Amino acid sequence: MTDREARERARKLRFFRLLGIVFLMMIFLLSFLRLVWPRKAYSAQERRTLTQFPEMTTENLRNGTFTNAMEDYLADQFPARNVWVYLDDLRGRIMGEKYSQGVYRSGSSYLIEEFKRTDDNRAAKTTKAVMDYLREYPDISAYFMLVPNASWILKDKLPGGAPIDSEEDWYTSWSQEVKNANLSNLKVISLAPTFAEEAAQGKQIYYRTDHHWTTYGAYVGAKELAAQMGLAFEEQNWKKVEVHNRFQGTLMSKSGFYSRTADTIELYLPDPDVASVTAYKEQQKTLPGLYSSEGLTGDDPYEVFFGGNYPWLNISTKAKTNRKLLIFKDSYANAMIGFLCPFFSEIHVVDPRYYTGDIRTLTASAGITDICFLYNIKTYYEDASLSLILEGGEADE
Amino acid sequence: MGEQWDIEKRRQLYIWAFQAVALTALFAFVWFIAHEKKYKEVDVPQLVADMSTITQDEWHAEDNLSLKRRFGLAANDFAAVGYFGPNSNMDAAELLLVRVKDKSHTDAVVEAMKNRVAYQCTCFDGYGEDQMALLKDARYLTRGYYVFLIISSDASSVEREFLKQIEP
Amino acid sequence: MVFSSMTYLFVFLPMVLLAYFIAPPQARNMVLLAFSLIFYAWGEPVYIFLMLMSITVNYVFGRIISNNRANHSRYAKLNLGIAVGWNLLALGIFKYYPFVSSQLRGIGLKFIPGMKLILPIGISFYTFQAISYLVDVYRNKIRVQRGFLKFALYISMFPQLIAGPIVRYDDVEKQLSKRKVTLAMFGNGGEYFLRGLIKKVLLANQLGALYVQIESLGAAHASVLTAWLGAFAYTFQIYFDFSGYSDMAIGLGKMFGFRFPKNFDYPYTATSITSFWRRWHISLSSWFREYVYIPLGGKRVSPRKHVRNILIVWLLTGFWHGAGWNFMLWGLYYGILLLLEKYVVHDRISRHPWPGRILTFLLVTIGWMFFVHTDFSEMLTYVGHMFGVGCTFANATTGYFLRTGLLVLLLGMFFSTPIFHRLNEQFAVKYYTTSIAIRIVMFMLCIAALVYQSYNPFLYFRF
Repeated sequence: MTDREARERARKLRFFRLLGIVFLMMIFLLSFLRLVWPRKAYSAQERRTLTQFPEMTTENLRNGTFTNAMEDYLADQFPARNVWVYLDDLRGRIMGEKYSQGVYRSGSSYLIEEFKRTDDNRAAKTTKAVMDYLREYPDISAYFMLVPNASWILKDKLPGGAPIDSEEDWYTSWSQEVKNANLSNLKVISLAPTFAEEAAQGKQIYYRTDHHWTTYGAYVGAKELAAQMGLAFEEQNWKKVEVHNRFQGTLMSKSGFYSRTADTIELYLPDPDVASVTAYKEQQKTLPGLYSSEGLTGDDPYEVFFGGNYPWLNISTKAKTNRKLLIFKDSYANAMIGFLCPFFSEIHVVDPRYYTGDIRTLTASAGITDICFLYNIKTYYEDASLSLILEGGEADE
Repeated sequence: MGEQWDIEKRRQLYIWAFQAVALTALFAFVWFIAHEKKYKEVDVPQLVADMSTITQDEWHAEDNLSLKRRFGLAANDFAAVGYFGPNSNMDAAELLLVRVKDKSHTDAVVEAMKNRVAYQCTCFDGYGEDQMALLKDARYLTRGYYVFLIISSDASSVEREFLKQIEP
Repeated sequence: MVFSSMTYLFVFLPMVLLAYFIAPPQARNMVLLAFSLIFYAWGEPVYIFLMLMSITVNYVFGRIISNNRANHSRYAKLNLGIAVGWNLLALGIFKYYPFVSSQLRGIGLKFIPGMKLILPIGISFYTFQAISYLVDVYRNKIRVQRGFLKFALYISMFPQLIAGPIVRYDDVEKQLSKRKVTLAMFGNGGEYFLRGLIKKVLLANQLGALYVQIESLGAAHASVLTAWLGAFAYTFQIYFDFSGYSDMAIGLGKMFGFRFPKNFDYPYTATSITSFWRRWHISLSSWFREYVYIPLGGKRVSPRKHVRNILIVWLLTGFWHGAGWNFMLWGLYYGILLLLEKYVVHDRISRHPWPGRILTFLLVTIGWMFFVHTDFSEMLTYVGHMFGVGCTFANATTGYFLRTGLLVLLLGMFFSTPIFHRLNEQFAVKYYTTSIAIRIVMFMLCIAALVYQSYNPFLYFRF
């Protein structure tokens, strides 16, 4: 008996000795690798600049900025960072984790962003600002299209019982608010029924790893909008071009959830080219066209549309019509504006997040005949900039 | 006391002195931590204008209306305000220096600054990596009556210059 | 600096290990002290002066008390009083003054100056160590430490500096002068450290994320069962967080040749509240027993005085955990439970371990909900949900959290029993290459989680 105990003790000691050596090796090996590993400025995977070695100043040291930045620096520049992130994702998958940074992992390769009703008043304020603004222009036809997000249309794909708030509920109360405003020149386009139908038929409306809608989704949206605008949309033919087939989007960068699946980005070009773009101006420079090959090859291929977001764009087309459109939009609209080009001679695109000019001057001076508000529900709900530029009357220079 | 404990007088004196020093040192330290220096009163708009030339960021002086719009702060509520904003809304660099009338306003000003930065983050999140990097490095300094927000490609230099200028 | 950080694991730790084992034995205390001070200064550099001051003051008072203890015991007692007073004053100012002054200003005493002070890390821990040292010197239980360096090391040693255990001088006296580290002891330390790291990074952080998700649910999604799931998640989170930190401290101590006392003894298997507090944060509850409860008379007094003693001790215990009313409430809750156990239930429960165990666990879980909510209305809402006030029993969201959180909760349950540790030990002795491989993988998973997670707060920092 004592013999056995002695043997066990010896084995235990051996185990601890071995563990001691392994522990030291792990710590020193990784510390060494960390020292010699080349520093990176930017992570394409996460789409953000990586923290560099923090500057040491007395102020930095005093208020803790230095030590915090140091920790960020070490984590950001850790050897083979992406491999570790992948490893952690694997662990999360095994543990059954479904949620990270506002993104849900669904069973069917879709990453879906959550919708949270944090502050109904902000959106109500925006809606009121829009109504007040439109009331000033009774002769201009106005359209309001809030595009439902994946968390509404694809809610069956969400993990069962995931505690997201219902976009549908909010949308219903919003519709009521708009109805109460009683504007005769305003038409509201509700996409949810059509989208639900399309999704049921297996059509892809949203990208799997990005929060945007696909070009097909935008096409369906444009069709609905065009019907309300009275455009001859059905007569127009479109040539489909596939421009990217390895698209993995922002939801993946944001959540760290790895998805093997990649999406295809399509462009729908007018065929025959009845209304090519003649001028395409941003505030400072003239851009080459509606689509940007530079944006396509960058880290966010969705930037193929316009090459990104601009405060204001002026698109002139060859279309033989007097109608001029003003669009207030978020990035969802980028994929849709191309569909409207054959029907308007001029389109002004305003992104309220970045726009600084006086919106009323623009409305009056550009001879606008149609105004469209085009947002996805989530952005509209969370946005505070639209009400800022619409209310900004007295605040402008 | 001396007779009662029957200790050598001189030793007891030392001990007494040590007790006094220990207590004094503690209070001195608390005072050192908690007291606020009297900072120099400077021409706030001028100082901000000077500091805006330190970096290559493209910005310009903003008026009180944009302060109201972006921060929800009314310039009249404060002793002095200096505000530089980005030339284009596609930039994130900003400098806002406020001299409050009453120190109890400080928290509200910092809060407004943080809200502004959070708002800017929602604008650039997913679209502007460079802007996000600047915003992540945003600094909020409170010194005496001054509250200072720095969003700049070289926040440290601006910070250093500011501290140098208001140093009494 | 926390142990579960990149800075610690891949900058600080290799540096201190290298310096320590390269240095000649007589210089090792110096090395450890120097690194301890850097460790302390990392978060809030200016408080290094407070630390040095505290060391000096306690060192000198220890000497004064010891010199006069034999012949001038009343004078020694006076100095003990002054020294303890000094420590409590420092703790009081930095930890409680901002709270107390804001409360007093709140009820209209505007002349009291408010002060914004950042809490010095670990002040509650090292202050208590210093007090225990002084009292023990006065009681002649230990010999006074004449070496300033050794005393400084006792107060500021980085493994236990910021979150305990509260090490008694008695426990480390010999090791301060002479200690030996064998490779096996080092490896044993590594085992403890890894265990603590895994508890903190792989269990506590995930459980914390689960709790935060549930806690922030709107009323529309809340239900009784979900609220309990969240409460369990927090209950396990705080255990793994804190006991993991203690394990890391004990492990690091071993790596440098120190033996720190055990701080947790499977508290969630306790069969009564009394036994729970003998197993939870042992170094703190025994501190209160030894330096507050027993000096007050303990239980060898009239029942009325005993009730008073218990309530005093538990209000203080609660308040020690933080300057806030909710911590007082939490302390009082335990005071009352312990009194009930003593005077009403007696040991009727301990004869049946399982009902006692379950009841104790549930009571502890409810207790944590007082502990975690600093805002009283939020506390009432949450505890209300647990008892069905304003919500249904279960809904679809409950199913979601069951599916995504059950595994980590079950693991939590398993890891908080002695069964796992027994199995683990037997397995390690039998198949040690496999065991080592498992540890390497677990360590890598910890690193992966640290690289990925921005979610890495340490709960016990505010004490």
